[in-house]
Amino acid sequence: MAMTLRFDDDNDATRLRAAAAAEGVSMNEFVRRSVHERLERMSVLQKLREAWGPLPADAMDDVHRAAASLGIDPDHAAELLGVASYRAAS
Amino acid sequence: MTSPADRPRGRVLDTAALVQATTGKPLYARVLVELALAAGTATLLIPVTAYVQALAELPADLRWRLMLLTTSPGVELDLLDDREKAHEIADLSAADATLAHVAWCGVRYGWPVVSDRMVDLRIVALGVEVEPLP
Repeated sequence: MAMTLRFDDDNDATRLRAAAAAEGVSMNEFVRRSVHERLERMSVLQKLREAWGPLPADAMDDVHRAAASLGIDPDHAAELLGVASYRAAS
Repeated sequence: MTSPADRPRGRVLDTAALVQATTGKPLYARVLVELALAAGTATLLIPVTAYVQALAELPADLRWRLMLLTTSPGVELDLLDDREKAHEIADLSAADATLAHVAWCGVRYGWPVVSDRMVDLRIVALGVEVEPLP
């Protein structure tokens, strides 16, 4: 299946070109590998989530701490984890 | 091969972090691992010695979770496959190979070690950065 990838931001295209060059692969191959890696990562995450079960309601302190540790915006972290954030709720 | 300094920032997971992330109890290590996988912005480095110890501590029916985690892109096992590296690790601690290996990973990669053994880690490797487990 052939697809066309269109960037709204020229900077993204520049970064993609540089990253692909750094790995010595074409931009097409770089994107293909990235998609494969993301799909693999999401597959593992989904299986682990099914095993762990949903995050409990009192998990927000841990979510905020983990977000701060990884340098991720707390609201974005809550979104990624499928929980309501303090800020979004307030 | 990229040098550690060129790699994206990550976390080193010690035995307790792996056990807690696998069982989900206490919650923090599970949340950290889940968020790292969901965001895809940080590498999770697992020293193979800590991996072996965690597998040994986990109930047999939960081991598959930890084994599955190690198959994910963004999760790397740090293997003991080099003589010089083994010597460097042994120089850190003669008494606890797992502790020494975890500390070595933290220093070598320059990434925080998620651990419940902050004091022990600092004794064997003064400069290692530690993110203490709750």
